[in-house]
Amino acid sequence: MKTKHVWALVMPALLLFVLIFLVPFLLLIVKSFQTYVPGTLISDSSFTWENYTQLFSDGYYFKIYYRTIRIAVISTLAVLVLSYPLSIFLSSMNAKVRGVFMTISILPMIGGAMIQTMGWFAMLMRYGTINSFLLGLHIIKDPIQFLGTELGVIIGLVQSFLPMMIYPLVSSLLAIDREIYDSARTLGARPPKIFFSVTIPLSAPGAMAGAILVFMACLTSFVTPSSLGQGKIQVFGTYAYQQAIQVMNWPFSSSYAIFFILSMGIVVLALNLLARGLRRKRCGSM
Amino acid sequence: MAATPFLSVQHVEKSFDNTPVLLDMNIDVEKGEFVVLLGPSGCGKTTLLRILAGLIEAEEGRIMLEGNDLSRTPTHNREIGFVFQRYALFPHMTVRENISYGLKIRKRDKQFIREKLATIVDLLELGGLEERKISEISGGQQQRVALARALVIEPKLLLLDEPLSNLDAKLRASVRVNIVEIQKKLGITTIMVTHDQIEAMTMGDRIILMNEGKIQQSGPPKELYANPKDRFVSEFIGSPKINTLPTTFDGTSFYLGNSENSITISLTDMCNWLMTTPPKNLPANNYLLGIRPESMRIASDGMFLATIAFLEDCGADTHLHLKAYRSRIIMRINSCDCKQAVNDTVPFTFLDKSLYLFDLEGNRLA
Amino acid sequence: MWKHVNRVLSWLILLFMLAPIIIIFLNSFNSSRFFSFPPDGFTLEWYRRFLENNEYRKAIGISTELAFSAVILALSVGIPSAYALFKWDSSKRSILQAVFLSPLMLPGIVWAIGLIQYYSMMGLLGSFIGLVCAHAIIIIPYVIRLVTASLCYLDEDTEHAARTLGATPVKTFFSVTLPAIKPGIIISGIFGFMISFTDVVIATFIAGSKYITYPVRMYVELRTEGLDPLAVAVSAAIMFVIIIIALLAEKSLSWSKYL
Ligand SMILES: Nc1ncnc2c1ncn2[C@@H]1O[C@H](COP(=O)(O)OP(=O)(O)OP(=O)(O)O)[C@@H](O)[C@H]1O
Ligand SMILES: [Mg+2]
Repeated sequence: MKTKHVWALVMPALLLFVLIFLVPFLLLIVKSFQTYVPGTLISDSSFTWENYTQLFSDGYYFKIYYRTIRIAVISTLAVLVLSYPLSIFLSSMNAKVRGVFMTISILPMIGGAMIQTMGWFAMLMRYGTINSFLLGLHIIKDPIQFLGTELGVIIGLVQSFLPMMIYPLVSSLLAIDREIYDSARTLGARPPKIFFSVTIPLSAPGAMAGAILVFMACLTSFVTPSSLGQGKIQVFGTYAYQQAIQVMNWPFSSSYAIFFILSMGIVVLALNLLARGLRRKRCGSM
Repeated sequence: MAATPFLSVQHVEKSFDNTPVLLDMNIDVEKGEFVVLLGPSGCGKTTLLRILAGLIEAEEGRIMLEGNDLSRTPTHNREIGFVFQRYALFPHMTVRENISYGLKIRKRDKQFIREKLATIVDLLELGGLEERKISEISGGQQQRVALARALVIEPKLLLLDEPLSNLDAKLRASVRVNIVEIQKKLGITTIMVTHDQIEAMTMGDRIILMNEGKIQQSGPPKELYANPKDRFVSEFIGSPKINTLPTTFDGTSFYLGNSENSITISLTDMCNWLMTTPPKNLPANNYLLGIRPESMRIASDGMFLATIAFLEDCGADTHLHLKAYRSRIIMRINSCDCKQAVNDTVPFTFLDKSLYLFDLEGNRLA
Repeated sequence: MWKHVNRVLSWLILLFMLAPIIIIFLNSFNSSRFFSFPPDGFTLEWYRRFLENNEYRKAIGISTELAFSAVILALSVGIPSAYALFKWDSSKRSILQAVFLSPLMLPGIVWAIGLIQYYSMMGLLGSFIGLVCAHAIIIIPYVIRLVTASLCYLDEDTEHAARTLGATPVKTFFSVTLPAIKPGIIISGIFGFMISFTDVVIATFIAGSKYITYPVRMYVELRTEGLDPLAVAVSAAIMFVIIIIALLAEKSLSWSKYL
C-alpha cells in the first residue's frame, strides 16, 4: 500500500491517540513540576521540584510503595501457583470443551471489577457467606475480619487477575509437543518429575508473560483494594484516587504517579528482559 | 511496419529490495496463442504475471495490450482473467457467488448472469455444485471454479499461475487436456506459468523458458527440445535430464574419460553424431558433450562400453544407469529391448545428428 | 492418580474464580437483606425493585450508550488503521502498532490522572464525548490486535482475485476483506463493549456527576453505604447477560482463541 494512503487511513486513530492519550501524559509531566494552590484546580505554573522532594521526605509514601509491592508480589505468586493446575487441566481438554471453559475462566475479567468486588464483599463481610458458614459449622467462634485487611484485598486481586495468567499459560502449554511428554514417560519419569523437568521449563515464557501482566495489574489496581480494603489498605491506586479526586491536589498526584510509573517501569522492564532471556534460551540462537 | 502484436511486454524490469528479479523482459504474444512461461523456482514467473495483471508495478518498461499502454490502467480495468496458484476463491461465498462475482461487479442483469453461469458451469462440468460452499468441494473442483470465475468475464487475456500444481498426478493429466481444449474452443489468449516441463511441452503453443529474470529461449516446444540454445535449456527440457559429459579436444580428436579409461573419437565421427557441424578451427580445449538419454542405443558393434549400475523400469521405457568413462550416464530404451542385468557390460553408440557440444560456459557450439 | 488430583484441584480453583459470581446469583434471590448463608428463602423482590428503580435503569442506559458509542468510535478508527498498517511494507509499521497497543501496557490509573487535568483544561470533564474518547482509547488496542490477527488468516490473493475480476480497491475491501475480518471485528466489538461497560477506574476519574455509569454508581454506593441487595440483583442480571453473550461468542466464533 502506498505510504500516502496508509497515513490517510491511520490518521483518525493517530489523532485520537495524540489528543486523548499522549497529551495527557505530557501534561502529567508538566503539572508535576507546578505548585498546588489549595482550593483551586489551577496550579501555580512556576517550576518547582517540591512535589518530588515531598515524596522522598516523608516515609508515608514509602510505606504505601512497599505495601503495594508486597501485595502485588504475594498476589502474583498466588496466581502463578493456582493457575498451573487449572491450565494443565484446560490444555488437556479437546478444543471445543476447552473453548467453553476458557470462556468461563475469563468471566472474572469481562464481568468487570465491580461485580467481582461485590461478590467478595458479600462473602467476606463480618456475617457474610464465609463467616456464617464457618460459624455454622462451629469451626470458629468469632467471625474472621477479612474486609479492611490485606488478606481480603489479596483474595480479591488473585481471583480477578487469574484469567490474565491462564490465557498465556494455556497457549504455551498447548505449544508443547505431546510427544515430549510421551518420551519423558518412556524414559521412566513419573508425573511430578515430568511436571518439574518438562512442563515448567517449557511453559516458563508463557508463565513469565502472564506474571508480568498480573503484577502490573495488581500494582495499579484500584477498585479491589479500595472496596475490599475499606479505606484501611492504602496502596498506590487508592492513594492516587484520594489525592486526585478527593483532595484535588493535581500537581502532587502527577508527581506521585510519575514517580510510581517510572520506578515500576524499571522493575517491569527487568522482568521483561528476564522473560526474553527465558525465551531465547528455549529457542537457541535466534 | 509489422502488425502490432496482441500483447507486448516491452523492456520490463523489476527488483525487490534492490535484488533484480526481472531484467529487460520482452515478449510478444499473438491473439489466441497459448504461451507457457517455464522456469525454475524463483526465476520471476509469478512476478511477471502479476505485473501483467497490474498487481505489481514494474520499475521500467511497459505492457501493451491491443496497442494500448496498460501502465496507467488499474487492475480492475484491465479485463484480465487470473487463476491463482492456490485458487484464491472467496471462502465466504458459494460456488455460484464466486463465479458470478465479476459479472455482478459489472452490473450485468440477472438474466444475463444466469445464462452466462449456466454456460460456464456446463463447459467446466461444475453442474450441481453451484450452491456449495468453497470448503465443501474438492481441490480439482476448486480449480475449475477458479477457472470458471476467470473465464466468465470474457477477459482479453487469461493468466494461469501454476494452475495444476495443487492437484494430484492423475487429475493433473486430465485437467491438462481440459484446459487446452477450453482455451482452443474459446480462442482466448493465455499465458500459463509452470515449472513442470511436461506441462509446458504438452500444453503450450510456445514456451518461454526463463532463468534468473531473463528469457533463456522462446519457441515452440519441439524447437526447445530439439534445438536448445544452451546447456541450461537442454537440461531443463527433456526427461530424464540430458547427460553432459566432459570431453577434451586436442585439435584433431575428442577424448572421453581420463588417462586410465579413455576413448578417442575422431573429428569425423564426432561431426556425424553432433547435431550441427562444429565451428571451423575449434580450438583445443575442454568441452561438454550433451547426450539425451534417448539419443543412445545398445549396439553390439558400438564403440563405447559401459557397466550397468542400476535399472529403472518405468513400464514402457527402462532407464539404464551406466557407468562409463568416469561418468554416470542415463540411457532410455524400450523395455522390450532390455535383456540386460545389473553389472553387465554393454556396448553402445549414439544416434546420428543427436549430440550437442557446449563450451564450459554452457554456450552451444554444435 | 496424579491426573485425578489435578482435576479436583482445577475444579476447586474454578470454583474460587467463579465464587463471587455464584454468590451474586444466589444472593439476588435471597429474601434476607443481610446475605445470610444458607439463604433465608427465595424471593424475586430485588428484581422487582430493580425494574421499578429509575436510578439504576438510567445508569445502565448511560453505560450502554457510552459503551456502544466507544465501540463504534474505536472500530471506525481502528479497522482502517489495522488494515493500513497490515498492508504497509515499512519499518515504521511496528512503531505505529506499538503506539496503538500501548494502552494495554501503560497503567490506566496514571493516564487517568493526566486525563482529568487535561479534560478540566479543555472543559471536557464530565462530558459524554470525553468519556467516549477515553474508552475508545482502551478499546482500540483490542480492535487492532484482533483485526490484525484475522487479516493474517486472509489469503491476500483473494483480494487480488477480486481486483482482476473488476472490483475497485474500495469494492474489494467491502466484498472480500471485510467479510474475512468479520470475526475479529465482532469479537473486538463485544470485548470492547464489555470493557467500557464495566470500567470503573477511568469513569470515576473523569465522569463527573452528570453521566454516572452503572459500575461507578455501584462503586460509590458500596464505598459509602455497603452492600445493597438491589445492587446485587442488578449485578446478577448484568452478569447473566454477559455470560450469555460470552458463550454465544464462543459457540459461533470460538472467540477464546483470539483473546
Ligand atoms: N513481495 C516480494 N518481496 C520481495 N521479494 C519477492 C517478492 N515477491 C517475490 N520476490 C522474490 O522474487 C523472486 C521471483 O519470485 P517469483 O514469485 O516471481 O518466482 P516464481 O518464478 O514464480 O517461482 P515459483 O516457481 O517458486 O512460484 C524470488 O526470488 C522471490 O524471493
Ligand atoms: Mg510462482
